[in-house]
Amino acid sequence: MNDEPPNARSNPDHERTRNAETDGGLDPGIGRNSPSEPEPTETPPFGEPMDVPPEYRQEESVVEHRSLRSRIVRGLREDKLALFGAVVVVGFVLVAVFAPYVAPYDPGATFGFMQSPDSYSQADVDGDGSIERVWHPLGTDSFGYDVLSRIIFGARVSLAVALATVLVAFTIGTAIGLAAGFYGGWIDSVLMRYVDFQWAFPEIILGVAIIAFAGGRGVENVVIAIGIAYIDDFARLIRGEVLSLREEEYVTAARAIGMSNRRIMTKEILPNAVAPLIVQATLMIPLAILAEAGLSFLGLGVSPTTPTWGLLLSDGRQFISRAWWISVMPGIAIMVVVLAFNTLGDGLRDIFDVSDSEVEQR
Amino acid sequence: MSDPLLEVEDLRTQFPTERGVVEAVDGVSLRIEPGEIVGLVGESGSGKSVLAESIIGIVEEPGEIVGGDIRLRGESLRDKSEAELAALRGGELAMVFQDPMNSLNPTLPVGEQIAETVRLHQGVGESVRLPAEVKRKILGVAKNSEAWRRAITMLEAVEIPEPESRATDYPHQFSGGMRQRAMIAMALSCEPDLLITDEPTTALDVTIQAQILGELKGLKEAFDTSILMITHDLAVVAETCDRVNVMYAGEIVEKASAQQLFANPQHPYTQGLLASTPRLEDPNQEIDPISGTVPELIDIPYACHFAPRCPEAKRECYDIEPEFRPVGEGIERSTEPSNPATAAADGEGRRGDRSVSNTEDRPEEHVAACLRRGREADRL
Repeated sequence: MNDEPPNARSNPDHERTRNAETDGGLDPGIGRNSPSEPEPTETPPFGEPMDVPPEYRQEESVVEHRSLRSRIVRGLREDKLALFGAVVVVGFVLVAVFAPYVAPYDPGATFGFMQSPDSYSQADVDGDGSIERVWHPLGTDSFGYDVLSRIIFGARVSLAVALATVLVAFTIGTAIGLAAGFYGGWIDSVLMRYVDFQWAFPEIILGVAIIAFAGGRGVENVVIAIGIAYIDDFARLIRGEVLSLREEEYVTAARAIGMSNRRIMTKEILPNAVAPLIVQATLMIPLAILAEAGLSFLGLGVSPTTPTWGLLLSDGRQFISRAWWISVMPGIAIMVVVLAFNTLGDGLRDIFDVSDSEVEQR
Repeated sequence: MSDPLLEVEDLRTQFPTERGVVEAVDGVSLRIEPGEIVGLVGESGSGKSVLAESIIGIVEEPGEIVGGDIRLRGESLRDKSEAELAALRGGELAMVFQDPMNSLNPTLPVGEQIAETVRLHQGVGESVRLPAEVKRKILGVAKNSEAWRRAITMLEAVEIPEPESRATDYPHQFSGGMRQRAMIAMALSCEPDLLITDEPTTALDVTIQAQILGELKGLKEAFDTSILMITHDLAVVAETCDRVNVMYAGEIVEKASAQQLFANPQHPYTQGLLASTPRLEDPNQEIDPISGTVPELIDIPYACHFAPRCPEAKRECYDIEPEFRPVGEGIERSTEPSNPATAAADGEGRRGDRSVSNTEDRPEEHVAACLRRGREADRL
C-alpha cells in the first residue's frame, strides 16, 4: 500500500531561510549590530503579495521594555484604588518617620484625663513656664496623654513591627514552602511536619515561648516571635502553588536548558507563585499589628510606656463606655492602614500577574 | 560514516511504582550522525519522551536510568556529574517541547528567556548571580548587552517579525506558532550539536506546522545541528527525516531510512502504523487501525512486546526475545521468532503480497525478516 513516501514537497519556508542565510540575512554568529536589516530575498509561499495600500497600513506598535519598575509605576497610575493604598501607606510611613515634627505634643506629656475629642486643656507644652491653652483634636486618654500624639508616635513601632514581622515570616515561610514543594520526598515531610506542628500551636503562646527563649522583651524579639509564628501561613500557601507549578512544562524546559534547581526555584517558580503571597502578606500586616498589641498587653511586647497602636487600643478597652475615643481612634488608624495595605496588595498582585494586566492594555 | 554524534546503547529507564517497575525505555539503541535528522515514531505511551528525557538527563524522579550508555561524541554522559550535565544541556544538547503554550515562563519576557540561555552557556561575561538578576529584574535588561542582542538575532532567525519589540513581549502575547519558534530560538541560541524536538508540531495547526518544520530543516543547515525528531505523525517524518526509528512499548522495533520505511515497512507494527494513516489518494482504502492499545509497561511478561497486538504473532513470540538484524539494505527490525519448519514458506507467503517489489529485489533478506533466530544465525 505505501509504495511511495507521502508528499515530500519542498517547503517554501525552508527555501526562504536558506536564501536568507546565503545573503547574510541569517547570521548565527553573536553580536550582530543590525538585526533589523530587511531580508533581501523574501519569497513568500504564495507568490509576492502586493504592498498594503498606505491607508490600510497599521502603525507599528512601539512597545517599551517593561521592567518591574515601569510596570509598578504604570500599574499604580491605572489602578486608582491601589494608588490610594500606596499614598496612604507612604503617608503613614512618612508620618511615622517624622513623628517628632508632625505630632502636636510629646507623647509623654500629660494633660487632663480623658478629655473628649476637640477639647482644650491648660498646660505648659513648650516648657517656658507659662501655661497655654492646648487643643486635643482626638482627646486625651486615661493617663492624660494626647491621643493624636500617641497615635502618631505609635505608628513608628506598629508599622515597623508589622512590616518587619511580615518580612521575616514571608522570607522564611517562602523558603520553607519552596524547598518542601520543589524537592518533595523527605525534605517535604520534615519541613511540613514542622509547619503542621506550628499550625497546631496558638500563635500567641508560641510568641510568648519564643520571647521567653530569646531573653525578654524588646522590639527585635517581638519581631522575631511574631515573624516565626506566622511562617506556617506562608509556607503552606507557597508549597501548594509550587506543587502545581513544578509540573509545568516550562520548568522541564528550564531544566533542559541547564538551569540549576536553585535557579529554577527563584526564576521560574517563585515569580509565578508570588501573587497570592503578596495578598497574603498584606492580610498578615493587620494581624501582626494586633499580635504585637496582644504581646504588649501581656507585658511581653515593647515597654508599656512606648506607644503602639495595639497598646493604645487595649489601654482604652476598660474605659470604652466612658471614653470611647481612647480605643476607637487607634482602631481607626489600624483600620485605615489595613485597608490601604489591602488595596495596595491587590493592585500589586495585578501588576505581578503579567498575563492579566497586559492583555487589557494592548 | 564518521564518528556518530550521539550513540545510545541498550538504554534502560525505569520508573518504580507501587504496582511494579515501569520499563519505559527497555534496551533502546540508536545513533545519530552529525547533521542528520533522525525520526523517532511510535504511539503515545511507547516511551519516546522518556527516551528523550533520558538522553538529556532530565528524567523525573523516581524515574532512573538503570542500564546502558549514552555517548555524545564518544563521551559517556552517564559518567558525568549533574553540574557537567547541566552545562551540556542547553549548550550542546537542547530540547524543544511538545506544548508551546506552556514551555515558556509566563513571567519573563521572551527575549529575556533566550538571553538567559545565552548567559548560562555562551560565556558572554554577564553575571547570572542573584544581584545581577535582581538588577535586571528591576531595571530591565540592558538593550545593548551581548545576550540580549543574541536573543534578538535568534528571534529574527526563526522569523519572528519585529524581533526588537517582540523580544520584550511576554509569552501570552505570542501566538502558538510564535511561541514554538521562540522555543526553537531558545534551543538553538547556543548552537547545540543535537536538538531533540519532542512532538514540536503536535499542538499547532497544519500551516504553522509546515512552517516550523521548514524552519527546523533550514536552521539545521544554518547551525549545523543534528535533530532527533520525536513524533507520532508519520507525515512529519516523511517530510523531514533522513532515518527513522520506530518505537513500541519501550523498544525500538524497526530502523530504516525514511524512504525505505514508507516504501517497505518490515515490522508488523510499522506496517500497522502506516495502515492506520488515512490517505487522500485512495478514498476507498479502509483505515486499518492496529487493534488494542499500547500495554502498560509494567513487568511485561512476554518476550516480544508487540505480540498480543500482532497479526502475525506465534507462540514463540511470547517466549523468545526478538533480536535485531538487517533485513534489507539499510533496514533493521526486531524479528519475530517462528517455527523453523514452516518459517521460510510461511514468511514468504505472508510477505509476498505485502511488498512485492522488495521480495523480488532482495528475496533473501526479505525472507530473513520472518525467520527465527536459529536459522538466521546459521546464515549470517
